[in-house]
Amino acid sequence: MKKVFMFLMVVVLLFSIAACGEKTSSGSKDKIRIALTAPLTGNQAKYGESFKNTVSLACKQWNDKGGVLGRELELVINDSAGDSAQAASVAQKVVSDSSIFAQVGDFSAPCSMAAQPIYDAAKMIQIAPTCSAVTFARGSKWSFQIVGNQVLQGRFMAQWMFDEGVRKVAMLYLNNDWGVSVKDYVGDIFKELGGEVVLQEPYSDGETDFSAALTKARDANPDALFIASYYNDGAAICIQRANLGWEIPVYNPGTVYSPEFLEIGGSAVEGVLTNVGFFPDDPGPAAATFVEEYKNLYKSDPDYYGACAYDAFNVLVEAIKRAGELDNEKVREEIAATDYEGVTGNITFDENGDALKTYIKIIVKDGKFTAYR
Amino acid sequence: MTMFFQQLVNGITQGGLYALLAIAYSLVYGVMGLVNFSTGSIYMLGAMSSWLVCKYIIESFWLSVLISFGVGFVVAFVLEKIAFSAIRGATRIASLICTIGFSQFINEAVALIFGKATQGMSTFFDQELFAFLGVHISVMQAVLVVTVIIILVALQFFVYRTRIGLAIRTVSMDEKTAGLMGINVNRTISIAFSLSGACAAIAGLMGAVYYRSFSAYMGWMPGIKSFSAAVFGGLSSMPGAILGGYLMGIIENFGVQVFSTGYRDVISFIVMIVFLLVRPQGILGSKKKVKL
Amino acid sequence: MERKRYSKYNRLLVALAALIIVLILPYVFSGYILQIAVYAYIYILLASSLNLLIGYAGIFSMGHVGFYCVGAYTSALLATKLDMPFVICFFAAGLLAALAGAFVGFVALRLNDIFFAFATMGLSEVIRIVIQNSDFTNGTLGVTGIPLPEWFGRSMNREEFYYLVVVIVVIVVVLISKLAKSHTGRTLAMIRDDQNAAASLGVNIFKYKMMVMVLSCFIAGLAGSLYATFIQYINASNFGITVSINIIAMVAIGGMGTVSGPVIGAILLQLLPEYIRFLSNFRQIIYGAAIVISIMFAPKGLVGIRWRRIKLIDQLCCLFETKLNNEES
Repeated sequence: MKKVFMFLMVVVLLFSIAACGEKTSSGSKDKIRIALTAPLTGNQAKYGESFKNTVSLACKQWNDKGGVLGRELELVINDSAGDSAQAASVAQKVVSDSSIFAQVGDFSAPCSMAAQPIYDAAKMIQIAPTCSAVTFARGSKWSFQIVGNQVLQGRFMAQWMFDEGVRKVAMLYLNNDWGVSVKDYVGDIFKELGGEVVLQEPYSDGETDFSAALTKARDANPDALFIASYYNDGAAICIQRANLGWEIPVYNPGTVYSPEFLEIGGSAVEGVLTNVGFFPDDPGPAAATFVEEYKNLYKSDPDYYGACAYDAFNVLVEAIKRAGELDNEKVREEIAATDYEGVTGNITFDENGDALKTYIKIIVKDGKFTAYR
Repeated sequence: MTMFFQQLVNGITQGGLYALLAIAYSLVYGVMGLVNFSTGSIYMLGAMSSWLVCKYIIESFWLSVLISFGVGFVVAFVLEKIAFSAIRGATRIASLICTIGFSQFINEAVALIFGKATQGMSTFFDQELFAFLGVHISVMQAVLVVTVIIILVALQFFVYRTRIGLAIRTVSMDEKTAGLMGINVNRTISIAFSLSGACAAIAGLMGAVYYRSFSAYMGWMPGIKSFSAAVFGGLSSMPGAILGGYLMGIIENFGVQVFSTGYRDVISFIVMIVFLLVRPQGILGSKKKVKL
Repeated sequence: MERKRYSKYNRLLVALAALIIVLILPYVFSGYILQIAVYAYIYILLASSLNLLIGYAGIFSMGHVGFYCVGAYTSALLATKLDMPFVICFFAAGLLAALAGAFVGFVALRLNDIFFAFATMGLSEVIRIVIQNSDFTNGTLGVTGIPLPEWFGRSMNREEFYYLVVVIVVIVVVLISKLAKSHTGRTLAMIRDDQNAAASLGVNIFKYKMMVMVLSCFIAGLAGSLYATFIQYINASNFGITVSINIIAMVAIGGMGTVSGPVIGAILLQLLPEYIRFLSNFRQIIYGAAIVISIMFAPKGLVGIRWRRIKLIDQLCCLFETKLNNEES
């Protein structure tokens, strides 16, 4: 009896708490509500925080200008914790709230893709700022992404290496959805150009020892090393490469662009070549104001991912403005027709919903990222 | 040829870390016939304390060693009191689950306090010792090998030449009889357990210095893999555990050369499983001490 | 005698009330709550199946997530690559996971507890890594576009799927409680409490352990299938060791070796952090601390705590009971 009684109590308690939480979230009708889903806790919390900052800034800027369609914008921020099951439940929450018009997010590809079927079924627009997985945007007509997919970026990196005279490349890549597609596209295009990929070596998330893989790569005798890694693994690879006494140019598709990379890597990351779509030290006119306002508000430099989220929000609101009404079909059409000068460069979409982007070459020089010439 | 020797050097370096952790497993298994699942977390705590010392106090390797040793010792001591002494008489599974809970708690608490991201660590001994035919060996790699030897010798001395060592050996033979002979079993177990924690923490410090980084989850994989290494070499014998650690490091590195880094973790698990089935006492272990 | 009938009547009443709450849930709340509730139910399956091993048979598996993963991938691949109907995917997931369990059991059940724990953990990692590196399972990209089951010529909506999950969970939990009371359940308990005594009585220990292992993995596989079908996108990175530890936490906190323990543990640990947002950062810490605390202070879990010893709760219960008594008379 007491066990069942307790079970009942627990169930009732939990769901009543839930019910309370549910009620408070419905806001006033006259605002345009847009959801932001980002990993505010968990392993990717750093990026989620950046998303939250930049999108809040964008929202504030629009409201200072008087909102859009004469109505104020309101942000509904949700935490996906970088976990795809959690991302799916957040998506359910967002689509079941009829006052929310569209959604920006998530950060990682698994989260964005777990949420996709739910937004797709609800015909809600989903702009994922940094989901560069090739299968994402073409998976639903309601999905868009800002960062540019790996075909384009892969072509850029492959071309760059080839132009520098690299003919044989060894690749180390993080074995997740992102790393695998980077490896595939960079590798394929590099081969198309006439180069040779002498080694493609995956490593698992959380790996700390790369000396074996690097020794293997050195044995393959390449002209350059391409690392599809985030900053922490990237720095570890560079350090262990230096320990092996191996002098070789290192290329990376933009993901090591972070101050921590320089801090951990120290002298070992000197000369690493990477790219960004947006570079605070050398911004275009649109980016300059963004960087300045961001610095004023948050006392730190914005990162590239945050800048993508900023653009995602602006692309969405611009489209609402052009559509002239809150009709998801019409706004979707308008997003597809976007030609917007964002802080991460000019943004247009191809027929799948992948942004077509341009990239800036940068190099680590004297312990700083500087433009490559 | 260069490749072969370089992979050997890589393997020996990584194997040194495994060997230190394998000693930690072997010490605990010897006296209690149990395993401390949070050995990997203590490894991480050792790395963390050295990172804190270098970042906030002074960039000194030897002070880091001292502090790491202390932290590992104390944490393991407390852990033994909670997960084993306090619930002695409960099932073995309860103790195991408790150490898992502890491990989770320690990792997540550190992640919450210092963040989940990888942090940079000060560099020590990063000069090159010598380069021969393109094989590069850094001072750090030599330091690691020397440390393992020192700890092994010290432990052998401790276990075979001191009174407490005698007590440890007696308890590991037969706990009940040792108690009847007037040995303080609880204290003996506690000391062995704390020493194992200190070993794991030293391994963590070495790992942090060698990889020049620290992160809250760095102990997870080394913790599991070094258990495989200990099983491989012989869980009941300390030299066996060390041999297992080194062999595992070397096998893994050549495994990467032959297969790929993606399958690296699989290699050590498969070695462990095969050995558990075919020769559960490991290479150097004695059969009667491993209860299956 | 009087007392016993009274308590049985009450138990039925309360269970009925709980069932009603569970059943009307979709009508009262939005899709979000539904989503979380389904996760909680899937975790009930996982925790209950792990409890069969840990609680009833004394086999400590740290690789339960491996079988869950096998189930999820079997179901997902059958549904997307071969367009199989859900029923087939569902049972195939269970069967393949059971097969994997039989293999692991055959290999590892002869080992003692710690070696078994490490061996299963190692094998579950091997499963995950192999899936992550193999093209057949779509590698690290995961399996997308898993369809919801079809019935009456159309695909189920989420509410209908919710009820399907509820039905499956109820069936499984009832069957487990029947098993626990059966001859087999008692034999398992004997093996758990004293293996040597059981062996000396002529019990074929290996056979019984093998049986419970296969059954437990079968249920974990079913849970995997439900998860894959419900979330419609799976990725090998969702099946790491943390999931195993979470399931262990649920079993330990709810109460090992009881039917209701894992159910309560799963619901509590799955739902609590969802609602109390400020806890979400502490989620994994809470799991860790909860394991330690429950092993130390409540080794039989929440279910095993004698709540009546706490005065306030006792008074409340007395009040409740006298009220019921009055109504009855």
